[in-house]
This record gives sequence, structure tokens and C-alpha cells, in this order.
Amino acid sequence: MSETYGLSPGAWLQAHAQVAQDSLRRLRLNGLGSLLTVLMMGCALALPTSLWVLTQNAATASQAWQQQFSVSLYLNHAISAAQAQELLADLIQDPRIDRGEYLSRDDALQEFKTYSGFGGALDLLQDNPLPAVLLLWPAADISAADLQAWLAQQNSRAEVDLAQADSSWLDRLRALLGFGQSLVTIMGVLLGFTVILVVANTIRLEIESRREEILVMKLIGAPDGFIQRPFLYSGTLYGLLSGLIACLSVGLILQLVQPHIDALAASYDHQVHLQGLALSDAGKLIGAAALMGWLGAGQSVWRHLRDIEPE
Amino acid sequence: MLCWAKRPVTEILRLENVSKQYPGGQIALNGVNLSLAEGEMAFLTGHSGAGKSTLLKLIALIERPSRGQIIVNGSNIGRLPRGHIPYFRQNIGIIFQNVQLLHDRSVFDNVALPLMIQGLRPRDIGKRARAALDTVGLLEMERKSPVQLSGGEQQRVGIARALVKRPRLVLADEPTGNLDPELSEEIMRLFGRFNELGVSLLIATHDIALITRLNRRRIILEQGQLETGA
Repeated sequence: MSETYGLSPGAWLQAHAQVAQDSLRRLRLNGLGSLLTVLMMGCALALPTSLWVLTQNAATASQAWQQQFSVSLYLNHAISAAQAQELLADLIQDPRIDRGEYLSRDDALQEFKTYSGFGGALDLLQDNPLPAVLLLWPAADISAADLQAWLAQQNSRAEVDLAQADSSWLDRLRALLGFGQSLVTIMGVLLGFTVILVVANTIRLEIESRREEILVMKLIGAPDGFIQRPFLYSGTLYGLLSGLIACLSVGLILQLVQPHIDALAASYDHQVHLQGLALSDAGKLIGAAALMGWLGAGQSVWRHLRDIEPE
Repeated sequence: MLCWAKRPVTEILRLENVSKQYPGGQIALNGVNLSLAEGEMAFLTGHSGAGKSTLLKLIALIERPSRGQIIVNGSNIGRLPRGHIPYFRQNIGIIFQNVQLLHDRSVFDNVALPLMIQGLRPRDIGKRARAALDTVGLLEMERKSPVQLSGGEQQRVGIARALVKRPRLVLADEPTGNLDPELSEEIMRLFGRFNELGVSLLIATHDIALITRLNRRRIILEQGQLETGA
């Protein structure tokens, strides 16, 4: 007896469309149960995703702040303007340094008078006490360790009295960011697993409740592929919907934290507007959720469908 | 009709020394040799527990024989790997005593299911499923749920579902077991009509009164063995 399981593409598509429709119908029929499952999965996905969005925002902000902070090299009084310019030209060659500026002692005095409000006090002094300064802006991608090493190197120079960077709070932010990012990874893996297991269990129950139907199908010659199709569709649908819910939840969570971020940023004289989930990232999340649903259903189908055989 | 008679008779089904012993040691079938010609309709009878159901299950690959060979349409199904069983079953019709319809689908969908499994085009599925329903006289019931039908009607839906695939071999396990004599006779007449169209049928039944009126070959099982005359 020959195998007759050859489908024309049109019939194949139509068969799949019908199964997808049927899965949706069953999902609706199951009402509250399906809703709770999807909500549970959605929340599990929303947690790491919103944390990820927050760390992404923090990373962007720290990049922007990086542009603003500079390193000051206070030069020895014995250094002439020409020597200072030479040193600056030399330092800028370093890839760790983005750009630089030379402030002569007079410039420094001028700047001090303008910004400090102690201009009058300085007039009382006979000599200009201020050193010449090289202001340097490190490259945006420099790590904290690299910067420290570079600073130590500068401090050991004879021309430099003191090399100083006021970036310790940024370092702390970065360390915190690294921690947040690893937390996102760990939570993502654990909760992703949870989502897969939730789908697997839901599909297992569905298979159990449709046992009779599966038996009849097997008796009239349905191959495993045909029998498992509606379950795989259900699982994928669960994933898809939970992905959507996760996207909505992330939006809601960001709305809730925005005022607190505002307050925090204001304390550092900054303004931060939280960027939500980009459309492409939302697409990826929903796609990943659908894949997890499919995997969970596949695992369940693979484990339980074989056990149901006519006796 | 003469040329039909002259053609060599081919076998649709042959059992060679088939035995079935269950894990508990109970012997359901013991060295059964049996042959069913293409286009033949035969009754399989015997007391309950004589092995009728086991025999049909072995042919449908629901169970595997402990010994012996089963040849369906020229191929030894004993060597069929698990993955090929569905395709094998698509080519035979199986009818059960408890009809085994899907109650959450309409009569039409139940009959159409084997064709959907085979992946036919929806238009062809519609045509063939309605033709099968028409043959069993239930065309006007196609939209109903199986639970709205009487026992006899449900059995006819089951028969339509088995025949919609146009199988060459049909196995029926006590198809009239739950029906009154009148309905039983109607079902048997239906089988007779299919047989006239060339379908081979092996029908297990213990309704002796019914089959004595129908002049067909009788295969009698007694404690897992064939009685003489089979």
C-alpha cells in the first residue's frame, strides 16, 4: 500500500490555516484558563524585559555623560607654554584620549575669575597661584580600569603635578549597570525556562483532555505530524499572546518608574527620558515568546503523544 | 461477468500461522491460517473471548502478533516500522462497535476527517464526504452533531467515515453489537452493497441468526483457533 501523504501547497496552507483557526477557537473556548496562563507567561517575560529596557536606558545615559566628563592634568610651574602644547599633541595621539585643550595659567586665572566668584580675592595676591592645565576628554568606550591606569601613568610624569578625573560616580553607575545586565541575563534564562514549562504543562493537560480524540485519529490513520499540529499551534499562540502582554506590561512599568527616574536624574542635574521598547525589540520579544511556546508544546507533544496508542 | 470469473483470484489478506500471546501468558490466538480473497466478504464468528477482536487488531496493527505473518495486499505488515502505521491505516477501513465519533465536530467533519488527514483539497473533501454520507443515507444530517443521532445512524456515520477513503479492505468489529435486529440487518445490507462494488470485508460478529440468513463465508474461531470449514 503506497503512502498517500503528499499535499499540494494550497491544500497544505489551507490545512494549516484551519488548524490555526481551530487553536484560536479552543483558546477562546477555554476562556479564563487560557487567560490566566497567558497572563502568567506575560508577567514572567515582562520582568526581565523591563529590567533590560532600564539598563539599556542607563547605558545610553552613561555614554552621554561620558562625553561630558574630562580629566585635568595640572602642570608643573616650570613647564613652558610650548612644552605644554607639545605634551598635549603627544597625549592626543593616544587612542584612549578623544580630544584635549590647553589652559595657560592666565587662562586658568581668567576662567577662575569668571566662574568662581572669588575674582576679587585673587586680585589681592601678587602672583597667579593657578597652574596651567591640560583638559583631556577620554574616548567614550574607555573602561574604568583603563582610565585609572592612564591616570597613574600621567601622575608619574615629571611635567604633571596632579592628574585627576572626577568620574567615580560614573564608575559606580557602570558597575551597577554591569550588575543589572548580568541580572537581566540570569532572569531572562530562568523565566524563559518558566515560560516553556508553563506551556509544556498546559499542553500536557490539553493532550490529556483530548485523549479520546487522539485515539480515534490514530485509528483512522492520522500520522503524528497531523495529530501534533493543533497542539503546536496552541503553544505558539500562547507564546505569541504572552509576548504581546509582556510588551504592554513593559510600557506600563516604564510609565510607573518615569517619575522616580526624573527625580534621580534631577539630583545629578540631568534630564532622562526613558526610551521604551523599540518596535524591532518588541517584535523580537514576541517572536522569542512564540518560539518558547512552540518549544514547550513540542516538548509536551514529543513526550506524551507517543504514549497514547489504541489498545 | 465471465471475464471476472476467469481472472486469477488474488488475496487481499493472508494470515500464516499467526499466534498472539499476551504478557500475562494468556493465548488469544494460536496458529491461525486464514486467507481472504480480493472482493470477498466474510464473517468472523465465535464466542466472546475466542479471539475475534484480537485478530482484527493484529490486522489493523493495533497489536503485533507474537508469531506468524500477516500479509495485506501482498505486503508483510509485520515488518512495517511504527512511522508507517498511519499510512497503512489510511488504506484500510476500520469500523468499531462503539463507533468512536468525535462529538465536538459535525457529522460532516467526522466523515471528512480521513480525507483531511490525507491532505486532499477542500473541494474534493466536500464532494467525497457528501457522497459517502449519501451512500449511507445521512446526507441531510451532515450539519448535526453525532450526539443528536440514534445509535444506528451513528454507526452509519462510522461506516461512511471508513468508506470515504475508498479502502480495498474493511475490518468491522461487532458493527451491529449495539443495534436491534432490524437496524443490524440494514447495516449488513449496506456492507453487502459495498462488497458488490469490490470492497473486501472481514466482519466480526456473534450475531449468528443474522449471518445465517446472509449466505456468506463464515470463519469460526474457537479458543484462539480456527474451526474446520473456515
